[in-house]
Amino acid sequence: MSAIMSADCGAPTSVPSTPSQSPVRPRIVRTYSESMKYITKLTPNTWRIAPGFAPNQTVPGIFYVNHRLEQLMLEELRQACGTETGEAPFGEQIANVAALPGIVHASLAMPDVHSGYGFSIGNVAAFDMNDPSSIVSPGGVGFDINCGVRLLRTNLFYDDVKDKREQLAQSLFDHIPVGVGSKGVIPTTAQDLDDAMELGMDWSLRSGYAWAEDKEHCEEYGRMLQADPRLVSRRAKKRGLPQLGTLGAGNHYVEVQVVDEVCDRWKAGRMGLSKGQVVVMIHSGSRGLGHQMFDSTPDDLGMEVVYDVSHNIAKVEQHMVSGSLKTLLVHRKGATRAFPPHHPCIPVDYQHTGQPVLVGGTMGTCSYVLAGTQRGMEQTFGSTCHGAGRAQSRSKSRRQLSYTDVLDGLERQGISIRVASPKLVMEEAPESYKDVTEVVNTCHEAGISEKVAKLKPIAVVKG
Amino acid sequence: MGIVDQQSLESDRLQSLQASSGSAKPGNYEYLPHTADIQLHSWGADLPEALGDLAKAMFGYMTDLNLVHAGEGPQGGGREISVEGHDLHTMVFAFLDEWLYRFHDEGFVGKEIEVYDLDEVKGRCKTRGVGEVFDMKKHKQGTEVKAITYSNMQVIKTDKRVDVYVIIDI
Repeated sequence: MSAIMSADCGAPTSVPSTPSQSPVRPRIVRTYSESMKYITKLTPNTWRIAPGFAPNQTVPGIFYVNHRLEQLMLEELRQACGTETGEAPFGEQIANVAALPGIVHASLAMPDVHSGYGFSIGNVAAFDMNDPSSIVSPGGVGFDINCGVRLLRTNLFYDDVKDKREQLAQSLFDHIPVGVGSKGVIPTTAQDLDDAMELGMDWSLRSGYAWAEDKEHCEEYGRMLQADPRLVSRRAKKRGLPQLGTLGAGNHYVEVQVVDEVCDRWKAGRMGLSKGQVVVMIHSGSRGLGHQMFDSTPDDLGMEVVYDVSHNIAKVEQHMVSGSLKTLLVHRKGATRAFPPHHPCIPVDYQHTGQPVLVGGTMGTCSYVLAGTQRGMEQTFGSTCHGAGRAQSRSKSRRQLSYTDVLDGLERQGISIRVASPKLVMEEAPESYKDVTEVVNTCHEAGISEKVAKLKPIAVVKG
Repeated sequence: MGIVDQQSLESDRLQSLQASSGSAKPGNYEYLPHTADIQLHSWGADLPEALGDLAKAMFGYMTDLNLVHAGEGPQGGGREISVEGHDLHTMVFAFLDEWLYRFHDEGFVGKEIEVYDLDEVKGRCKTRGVGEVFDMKKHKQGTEVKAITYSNMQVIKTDKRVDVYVIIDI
């Protein structure tokens, strides 16, 4: 679904300059040491960018990095210092967002932050709905609107599947449309697409692609009531139509994973996860895929949705800001909602654990299940990281890594892989990303989310 | 826009290309590094030339253009589009976006793209291209291009050549 609305969402977004006149925002040229006067370390994993770093900055920038990730952050800043044009480093982008009208509390960056267009990937920013000057920004959401991760659990354990890795990967690859130019197998008309946009998972349910209980374990219960397909251009819909029911390309994937480590036994138990259990993580996609895997039905396999989160979205939420309740438009661009225990917006099953958060790692590394915390609610509008975050450019990865090296590396780790585009194997190689464990640990140490379980892939299918 | 006369599009140049085992004309373009995405850089003697190769660069990132044949596929190869922006940058954006839309809508992949009737001040141009409809059995899957961006878009003109830089979201 992620790609459906991503196309014609207006002119993308160098915030806040007007793209048609000047796509390159003039930058303040500072030396590294001048820049560092604005940047202070508040705690071992929390940094602050003081107002003044960007023109008209009204609130501070806050970012979360631990001692390992901070090296990458400082290096990026050092390289960007003294240059007038080119890509702004994320620190500058965070500060620019902190200068947007209507922003409250702080412009926040999760540990997997890296620079994007206008907003960084990993940036969280909230704007007061009752302030008429407040902005809404497509650049604060990203092109992949409502891109997200779903986790399914099964009643299988590693021993049941260890000899079937290759078959599994092949079967998933054969049955799931992946990569550029792939078309969905679900026959869809323009009316179907309108219905799907308006009804969300109720459409899937009505069409027989979902179970009623799936909805309960999805962010927003799988449907945003304000959704109005009439507001989406015909052109955008034409772009979305063939994509419905596909996995997508790029970094989207399906992984069969095994629970490698349980970090919080009680919370994992509430989420139905135990060590050695086989789960399926889908970075954008749907659930009908269990069928072909073992000649058994999803019911036989005990397949159930653990949770489904979005990490590119702007939503109206209520938060306490300096002691008073405010209605805010919270932009999460490459960040995941992580609401605490007892929050009214999370399902009954997770009222005591906090909202499950699904953090996808990179090919061949690991993924995590986290839970939302009260501290996250107070500090980050109930938000945490979404993945590993890029550390290397795509073309650099392609130059430095070879196709076979990457595949051999995966094979040695016991991971079967099928990929539509070989180029992507290098671009998406673990070496191109930050260490997801460091990212998740930073969130855990900062208390904005808690680790529940670590998942290790055994079969990967990518676009 | 409409599908134009096949005969007029398949110029001698393109026919000779097909004859040479379908290999693509080496376009004047390259892919430059960018943290999360990719920057297209194309160049030519004038803006129409640079733009034509810019579109080729985009299609070349989605699939191997050597396997794309000009003027084949179920709906024939030719496409002709009028591009309307309101200045240079919006025209460059609209130009690439129109071609990307042809891919998203009907799976069209361009092998050779021509630009003509270009009015820089009004931000308008016309473009036509030959290629074919993407077929998974025949063509390689490259990288999906989600959108065109204005981020750091540059059109640099000197006496001898024009360089265009566009970052695409992948």
